[in-house]
Amino acid sequence: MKDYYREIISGLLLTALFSGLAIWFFRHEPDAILKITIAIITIVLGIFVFIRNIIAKKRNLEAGAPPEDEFTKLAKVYAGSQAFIYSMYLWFLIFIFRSSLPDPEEMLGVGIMGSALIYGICLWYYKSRGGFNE
Amino acid sequence: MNNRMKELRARDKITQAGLAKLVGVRRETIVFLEKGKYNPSLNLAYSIAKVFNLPIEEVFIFDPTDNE
Repeated sequence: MKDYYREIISGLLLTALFSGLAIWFFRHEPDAILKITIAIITIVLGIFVFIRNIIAKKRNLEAGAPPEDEFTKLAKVYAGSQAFIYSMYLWFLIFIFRSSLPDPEEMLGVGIMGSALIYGICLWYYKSRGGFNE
Repeated sequence: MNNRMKELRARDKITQAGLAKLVGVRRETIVFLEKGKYNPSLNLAYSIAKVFNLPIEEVFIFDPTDNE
């Protein structure tokens, strides 16, 4: 159990994030089929990522491999630096178009979720392709 | 940077998972190293060379054109 605490915490955070997203969609437009579909897909995706991480961790532990090594640590550093740059662009766009957005406060949430998503994509890219310190 | 890891693994009949366990990294790291998609730290390079009983420069071959 102790070995899986990070996966459990990240799973809970993902569930909270996706549930919040779903509630946000339902609250605004309960009949919007497209948004409901997007919410369901994101929830399913979150559960899939969570289960996949647990299985990968279990496999690594059984094989005696460390859950993290220098490659994964470095991938996180590179993903973090790239995500920071792309997040700046996102926040810049939100700042530029803030007057034309319906609810600027909601845009803060979109910005935060967008930054998290950008980091996730960068991390997935570097972990699956390598090549960042060639 | 090029390396002879795949060839040396075959010589010593070590699997990727086996080598990963010997040097304390994940199997995926060995895969990326062999593909040339990741340059190891000096510690890891030394550990890998030690497994093959060779000096580092005989396992990892520096190519100056990589930096051009």
